[in-house]
Amino acid sequence: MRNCTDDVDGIMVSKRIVTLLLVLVTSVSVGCTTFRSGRLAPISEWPPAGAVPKKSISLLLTGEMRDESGQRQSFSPRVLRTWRGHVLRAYQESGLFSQVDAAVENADLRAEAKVEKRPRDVIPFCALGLVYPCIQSAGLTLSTTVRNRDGDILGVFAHSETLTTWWEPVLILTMPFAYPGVVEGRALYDLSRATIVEARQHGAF
Amino acid sequence: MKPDEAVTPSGCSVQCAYPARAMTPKTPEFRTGSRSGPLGRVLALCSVLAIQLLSGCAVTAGGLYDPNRDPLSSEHRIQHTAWLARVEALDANPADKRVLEDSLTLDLLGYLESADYFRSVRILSGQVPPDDYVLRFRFARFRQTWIMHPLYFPAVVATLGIYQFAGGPVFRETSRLSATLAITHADGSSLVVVHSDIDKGENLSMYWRTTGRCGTVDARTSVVRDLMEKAIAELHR
Repeated sequence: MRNCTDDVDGIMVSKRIVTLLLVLVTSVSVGCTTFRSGRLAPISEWPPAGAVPKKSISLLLTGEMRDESGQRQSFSPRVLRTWRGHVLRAYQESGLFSQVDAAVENADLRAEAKVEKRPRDVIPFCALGLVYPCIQSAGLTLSTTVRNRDGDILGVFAHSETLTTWWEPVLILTMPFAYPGVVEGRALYDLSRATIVEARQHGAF
Repeated sequence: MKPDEAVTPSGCSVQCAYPARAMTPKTPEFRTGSRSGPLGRVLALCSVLAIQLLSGCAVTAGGLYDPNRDPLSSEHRIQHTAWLARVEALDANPADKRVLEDSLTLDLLGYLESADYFRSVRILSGQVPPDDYVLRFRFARFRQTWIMHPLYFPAVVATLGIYQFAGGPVFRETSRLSATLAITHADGSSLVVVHSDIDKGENLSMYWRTTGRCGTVDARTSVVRDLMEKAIAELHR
């Protein structure tokens, strides 16, 4: 036969479980959202008008992260593969090339793209993410060297954008709209488009 | 339901020794009913903080050397143009192989250009002039990982975060590289074949950025530098 003490204990255990779950959910559900600074000027004409695909191009991409202390770190192949996809898409959409992503040996042109990321903590110490937001700013620079088949440099182009990421529990609601990886990918795509437009203006493409 | 009945979580109502409305957070019964008391709340708060402290991120290493690191004196520069063939990473994951080899080739080109080993360095494409050399780097093993240390999670929880602030290992990085450099004439005849490898692992605390080191990059640089020093010495014989 059940008595009231058992029920009171049961209610309290339930409350503790709910509290624990709330704590856990809150703790692991810190959201983050990334914003772009808008340093990169909007690209008015895309794809470039009057583009006649004549030459093939190969794309080599690498990347590195350099923090405030000057430490350098390279990125994993998975990250590089994602970035390469964004850059490659811009080259394919430009309509300037008869073949994009050709083998180096066969391509008329070669684009050597280097992505450099410079993270900087604006408000560090995410341990207190529940109390105040953690903010990190990261400069994203795409430097591209365009060479011909013989390896001669036709032009060097660099464009930058700044990404600012906030971490805070409530931002979990905005994550689907400004997920850091997605925003970074869009930024890289736009940096690639700006590079292509500038390279075309300077006669490299 | 009578006023003095309480509804249990299972839905049944039972006669209670004290009113159901007594079970609210404001009542003394509720507070004194807690088994944990103030100590439990402190522990709960510490648990929250500890969980928060577990937030972190890591970037795994996969590229190549620091191109700004000067590897060798240029006084023994080889007076030939070197053509760098696409670097091969034989044991790379098939999905990553292309991006990894592209990245290695591009980083290596920058490294060799800045190091002044040769009169000039270019990526191999098309016909190679008869007097030039061809460099072929091949990584039979290219394994570099930077993972969360297996002790990190349990140790942080057990010590309520003190572990990491005390400098306990947060990351575990390993470098297992085995590389061969073959330098040939333009016609393919062999000039030099040298080999180098490295196998090391190291633990990093949360202060690794301030200790002025970056192990995976160092490991890659040392392997390439070793290959180049051996090869240059051979070419000067």
